[in-house]
Amino acid sequence: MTGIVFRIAWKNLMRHRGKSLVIGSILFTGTLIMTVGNAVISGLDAGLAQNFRQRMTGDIVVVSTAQLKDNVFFTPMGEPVESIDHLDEVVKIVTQHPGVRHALPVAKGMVTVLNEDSEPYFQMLFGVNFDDYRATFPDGMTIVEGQFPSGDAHGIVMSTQSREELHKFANLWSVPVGSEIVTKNLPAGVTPDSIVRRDQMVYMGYSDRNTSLDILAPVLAIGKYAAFNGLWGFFSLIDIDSYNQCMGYFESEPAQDIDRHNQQLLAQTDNLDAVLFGDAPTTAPVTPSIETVATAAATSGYNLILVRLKPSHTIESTIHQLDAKFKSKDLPARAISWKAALGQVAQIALLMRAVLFGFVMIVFIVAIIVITNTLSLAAMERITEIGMMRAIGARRSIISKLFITETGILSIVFGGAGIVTGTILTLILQLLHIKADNNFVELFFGGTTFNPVLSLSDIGLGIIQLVIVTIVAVIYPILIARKISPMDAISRE
Amino acid sequence: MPLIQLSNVTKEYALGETQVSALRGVDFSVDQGDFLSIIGPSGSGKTTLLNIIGCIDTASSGSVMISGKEITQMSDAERTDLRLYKIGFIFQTFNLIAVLDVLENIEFPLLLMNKYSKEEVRKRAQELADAVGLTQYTHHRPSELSGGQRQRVAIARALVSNPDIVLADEPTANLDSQTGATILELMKHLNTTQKTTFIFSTHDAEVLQYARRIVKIKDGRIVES
Repeated sequence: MTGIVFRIAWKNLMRHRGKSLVIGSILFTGTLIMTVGNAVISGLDAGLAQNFRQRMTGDIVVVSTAQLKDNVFFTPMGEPVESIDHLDEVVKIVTQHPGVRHALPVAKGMVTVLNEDSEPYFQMLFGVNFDDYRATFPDGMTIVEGQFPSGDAHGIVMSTQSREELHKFANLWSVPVGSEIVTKNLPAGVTPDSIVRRDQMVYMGYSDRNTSLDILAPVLAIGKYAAFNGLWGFFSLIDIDSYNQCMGYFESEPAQDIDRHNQQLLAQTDNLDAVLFGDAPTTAPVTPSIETVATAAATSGYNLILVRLKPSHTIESTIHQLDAKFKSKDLPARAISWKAALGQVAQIALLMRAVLFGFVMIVFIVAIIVITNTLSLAAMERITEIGMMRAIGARRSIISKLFITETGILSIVFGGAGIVTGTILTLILQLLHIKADNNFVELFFGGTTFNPVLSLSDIGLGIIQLVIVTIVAVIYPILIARKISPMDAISRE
Repeated sequence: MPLIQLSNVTKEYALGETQVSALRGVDFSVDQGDFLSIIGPSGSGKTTLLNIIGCIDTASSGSVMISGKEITQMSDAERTDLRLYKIGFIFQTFNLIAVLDVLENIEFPLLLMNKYSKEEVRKRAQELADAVGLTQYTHHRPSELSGGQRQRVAIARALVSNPDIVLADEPTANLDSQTGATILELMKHLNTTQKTTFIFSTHDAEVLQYARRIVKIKDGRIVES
């Protein structure tokens, strides 16, 4: 029976080649777009995972419970992130979790770049231990000038993005200490003569919690983030000691008594730098004010712990387990996902993913509608044939099988060709290495290069989508065909 | 017990806002092995009567029994199976499956039954093709055949499953006299040897010569049986 149904179906398709080609073309185009669309979505996901999670944010970010908003990286107007109290205990819990591969404490904050020839300029800093940073994100940053510093070095690794922004604002061009300007790294149209070379920066901490200080930070290297440099490049790296001094966090220096003279001065001015150190900026180590010491004694500058997980552990379950542990130890810390920590940036990326997914779904629905319409018309044109088959003794199920077989053959042939072509097109797109030329496109690509990824599961998804399109598209035409009676055929004659 | 028993069968069609009565209380029975011809003027209800006996159409009221079973109470699937296993139908127009060749068209009912081997089906279909004189045309499509040849395919298909009842609506209308005679001889042979019951409508006096029983119908009523 299956044989005769297949034979009739195949011969019908051959007989009505025009209609078969119309339906086949829709199936081919639909599966082609869906396959490439799935690959682009997977590429976006893989790109975001690789570039953000493996190179920048980690999988999980631990913050203080005092930090009410999850959006901790791109905070509006440089809004500070609350420091994590009892950091050592929090880090200990994080690192003891079996799923954690690396845990990097980070002090994120904003500083004012002081320059005698221009208005103050703001820069974002990550205060880190350089060795720990390198261990956590080994390929997160490429050094373009100088050398990545070791753990005990004091100074900054300025991002190329920060350097260019500073150049635009103040015509300053940062280079590593003792280095000359590398002409090829200059923006187009800029010559070494037209800019002011700087190998150390004067930073003034920008803190709403402590009294900040000015520090003189040597530029140790210029680095470029592996991806999203236009976004992530707003952050430069600084050693944690310099960061703490700049932001007014001190842990080891003892408090000092202030004599009557200085107490009088303190009463007269709020410029502590002028009182204690004159006009010159300080270099580490710095003796702080009593007020600063008193405030900082119970806290540290670290406000984020970036956590990278082992592949075998999921973000959701690890967050749940860490939170439970923090709670049981009464520690004021909580874990959030990298997406939550990225705030709107992640939302934009996810929105793009949703738009792309929506586009694929529209193609999916349009394919169903057009195929349903074409098959329904075909069913009505075949009333005589179907009615006669019913008169001879073909049950309704045979008619259903006939339609399913015809549509199935078209799906396998044309849909299969669409999936194969989509796979080839995806490979070609990978080979083209299309570069993103702005931040928005980079988010859409999930990285600096357009890299659609087609895994076996994506191909499986494409096949499932094809099967769903076929089944849904054939339901209504089958209902029409099943209603055709032998009398309909005779009436037509 | 008669093979077919119709009691007070009526059939009404809606034609726009008016009701048309095609059959007005038909009573008659057919025994196993009958060779029966239904005659009557155009529009008298011959085709409607055949369609109801053949389970293709349903009666508006009354009772239709085939082999002791009331078909008006049957489900669509049961009526379909009855058509497949017990009834062979030769339509007024040829109604072949356009994409299948002669042999495949003849095989179709046997393939639907799904109980014979491929070889058995092919052998039986070939026998019928030979019997109706289509040996040379077994791999031709319906579109490549003349009207008479197509009618012979339809007849072969109706007979291929050895049904208890063969219903034929003007079976020789499109055949030349020689082919018509050959077909009728075949029917008669089956009727005699296998007790197959034949019921056909016709205007053809030649066909009537073969009938052992003639039923006259007029205005939806049996006027002579």
